[in-house]
Amino acid sequence: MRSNVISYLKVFWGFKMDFELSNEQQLLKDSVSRLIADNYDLQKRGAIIKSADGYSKTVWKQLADLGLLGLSFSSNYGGFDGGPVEQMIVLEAFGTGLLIEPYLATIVLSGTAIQSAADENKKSELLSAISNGDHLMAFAHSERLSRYQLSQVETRAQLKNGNWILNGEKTTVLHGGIADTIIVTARTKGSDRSTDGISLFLVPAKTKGITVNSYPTIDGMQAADIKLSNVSVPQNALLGECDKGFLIIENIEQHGIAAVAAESVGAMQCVLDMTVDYLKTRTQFGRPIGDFQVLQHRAADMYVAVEEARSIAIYAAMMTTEKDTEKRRHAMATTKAQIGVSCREVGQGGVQLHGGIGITEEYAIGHYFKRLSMIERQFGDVEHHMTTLSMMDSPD
Amino acid sequence: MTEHTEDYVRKEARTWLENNWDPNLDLFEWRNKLADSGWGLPNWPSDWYGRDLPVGLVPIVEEEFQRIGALPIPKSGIRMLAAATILNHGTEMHKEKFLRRIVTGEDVWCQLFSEPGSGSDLAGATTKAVMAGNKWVVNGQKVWTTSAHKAHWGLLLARTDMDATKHDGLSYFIIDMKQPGVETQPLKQMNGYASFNQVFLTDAEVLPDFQVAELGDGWKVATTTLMHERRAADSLRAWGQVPNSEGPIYDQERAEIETTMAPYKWYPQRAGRVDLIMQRAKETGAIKDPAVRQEIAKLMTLHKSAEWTARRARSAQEQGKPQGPEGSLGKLAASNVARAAAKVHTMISGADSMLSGDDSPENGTVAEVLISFPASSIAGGTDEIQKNIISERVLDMPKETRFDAGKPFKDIPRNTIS
Ligand SMILES: Cc1cc2nc3c(=O)[nH]c(=O)nc-3n(C[C@H](O)[C@H](O)[C@H](O)COP(=O)(O)OP(=O)(O)OC[C@H]3O[C@@H](n4cnc5c(N)ncnc54)[C@H](O)[C@@H]3O)c2cc1C
Ligand SMILES: Cc1cc2nc3c(=O)[nH]c(=O)nc-3n(C[C@H](O)[C@H](O)[C@H](O)COP(=O)(O)OP(=O)(O)OC[C@H]3O[C@@H](n4cnc5c(N)ncnc54)[C@H](O)[C@@H]3O)c2cc1C
Repeated sequence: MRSNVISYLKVFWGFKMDFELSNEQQLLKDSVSRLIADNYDLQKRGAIIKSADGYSKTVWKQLADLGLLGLSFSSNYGGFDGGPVEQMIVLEAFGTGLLIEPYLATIVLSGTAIQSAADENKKSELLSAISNGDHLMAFAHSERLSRYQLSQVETRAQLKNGNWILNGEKTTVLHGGIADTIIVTARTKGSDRSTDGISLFLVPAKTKGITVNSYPTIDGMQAADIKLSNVSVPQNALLGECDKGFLIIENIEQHGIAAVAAESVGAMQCVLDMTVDYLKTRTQFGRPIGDFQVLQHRAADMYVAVEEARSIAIYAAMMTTEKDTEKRRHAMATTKAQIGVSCREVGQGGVQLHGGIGITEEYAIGHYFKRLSMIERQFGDVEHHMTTLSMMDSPD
Repeated sequence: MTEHTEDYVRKEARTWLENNWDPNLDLFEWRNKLADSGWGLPNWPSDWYGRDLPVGLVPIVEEEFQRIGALPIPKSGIRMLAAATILNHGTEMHKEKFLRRIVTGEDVWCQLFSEPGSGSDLAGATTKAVMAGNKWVVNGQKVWTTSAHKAHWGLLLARTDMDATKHDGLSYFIIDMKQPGVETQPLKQMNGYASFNQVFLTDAEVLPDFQVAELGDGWKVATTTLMHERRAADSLRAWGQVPNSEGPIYDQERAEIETTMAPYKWYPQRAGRVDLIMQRAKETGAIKDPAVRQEIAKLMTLHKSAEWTARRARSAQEQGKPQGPEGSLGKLAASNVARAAAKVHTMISGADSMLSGDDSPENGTVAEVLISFPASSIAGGTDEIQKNIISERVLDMPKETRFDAGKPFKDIPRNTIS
């Protein structure tokens, strides 16, 4: 049963220039927030982390039923034509609840890949399968020691007797262990760091020659090392144009950046709220610790960091559809640099202002810290993006 | 025997080690030899398992231990704070009873200072000790007590007078942790370890002999313990490290680290693992990246000044100057180094640094740094408290208004927990 909230929302997607949410967007926000408030707390989350799959099938189904998984896909493929703002609203709510379900891997990263590069048949097959919650996907791109360099691809693909043969190793593939289909990037020509000559392939996870080794990440999610040895897929497994995959990969990452930016805003707001609350109630030296001006100022710094992140997350959401690649590249590096700085300030500040209780497993703040630490590094850390920016002309 | 030149000490230590070190010895037999000779803790008084050696010459002795591969006394854990406190304020009986087993590592200690309602405001402790008949009876709750679940003895700060002001109403005791009135409940940290505990004291007993210093002197004694804890902050990275050699005595020490010393296993990660930075940068190739090189250079600068700040503190101590509030410098530097090191580690390892499995960088050590370093600026007095000490007591700035000064403790507003 799919809630009619989303259908109703289709009336108008977009951004009101006063940066206030429209009524429809507010409604979306409320319904996602309610879902999370009712179904997701620290204890349940802990149980989900420990479960065999590392995510909750029930929650995933609920997200599908609510139409959230297909939110931003085209209605031609069973989606809801949602725009960047709606995506942002959903991810911010996910950040509030520290959702560990494979939304980023399946919907944002793989969904973007399919939407931007797959043919009509694949789109209708895969987009509806992932929106229904029946099919999970992962994006296998980074390799050992690639250190956020998108063009560093050593995995090879060769066409032999009408099949692509893939060989290589991928690392830190988010939710790679539970994916039904893995999008693998591989070099079809050129040298290891060339942007030219990279291609994408749709590879069923069960294909012979694939070894998946899953690890927990510091924030309770799962990532996998994936070895490909003589993995054979049919010629039509190629996703997009041969050798021209770099721009697709970049676009996937940019959607990833916009997504984690929004998610981090939700998580940071929670940290700020919890911390301010704590400063008002915790007593030391016969008064609330919020009386100490150093702590007030630290909280003020955290507030500024959250709001800077919020602004840049909105900017990123708008820029995901920018046509000029240089401008988009610059915007996303700017975004991720700011998000990284804010995650650091808010995550570390939140723990510090709580004192001893801040570093315990029982208390929420540490879990937010861990997620924010992860986001700080996902798709490149502050220094990586600062380096990128320092080598670009500002397009504005 | 009082010839304290570098060469003389080196020669003496080397001769003794050559005649006595034997990797086939039982670990405790070896440590007892160290206690008897004073070579284990040579800066300790010669009456008590030491050799009266100036602190500045201790590294010479340590070098000789390393040269021959001999196992030193592990200078880690709360038990070393207990030793410092007992050496400063303890009675002959305390020294007699406790020091040797501290040196040999047979007894584990813990520090029962922090409470749910009093952490930074340590002098606000509400755990009460009341004299009933011929012994102290203790009731209350402590928290964040590292290694309490392993401990034989605890350093206890408790309130003995509700009518006195908060500092004057405190006394200091050594409490037997293996008695029915002491219940420990482990607390897990966000890095997955469970090294600290809640400790519930219910009619727990302390014999009058086990009081340290005078009644009402608890704060003064606690300050000694804390200042030594602070001094240890710069040496955290060496804690819980196992020598790589083979032989039964090494196995025994490795086993000890997995058991009694287990709560300290993550302490090097908490300090940021600066020692792994260059090695990781080289093996990953990150060393070629100018942005990474800059950050490594910044970290190493910070690290070097922290190291020399610690040296100055040790040298001041050697010259007989008391531990002053300057110790806060070292504590703050350690927090800064840990924070910076965590950042540089992830620049080096990239996305891999977020994996905590066996195949991840350094078997998950880098990931552990990322989720452990925030403890550095909290444990042993927060960064904010260190800065208060510096501004109010070193720089002589006006004190923040105290609402609780001069009032009887029972009239001061507190958290409602107790
Ligand atoms: C890993 C670890 C091990 C520990 N081991 C032990 C142990 O073995 N034994 C033991 O007794 N304790 C131990 N502790 C406790 C530690 O000493 C306390 O956590 C610390 O002193 C802070 O106290 P709190 O947690 O109550 O925080 P609070 O005192 O409640 O502090 C909360 C926040 O308020 C700030 N704050 C408080 N007062 C002021 C002020 N006057 N001005 C400005 N800011 C202020 C603090 O800096 C902090 O940011 C350990 C802690 C950790 C993290
Ligand atoms: C984990 C931890 C580690 C610490 N380490 C150190 C340290 O290494 N060095 C250090 O100097 N402080 C240390 N402190 C104490 C810290 O300086 C104080 O807790 C903090 O500054 C708050 O001040 P206060 O409780 O002393 O109260 P305040 O009201 O600030 O007391 C004023 C001053 O008077 C002193 N004082 C008041 N009454 C007495 C008394 N009866 N006997 C002795 N002194 C008295 C206090 O020590 C303080 O210097 C530590 C505290 C914590 C929580």
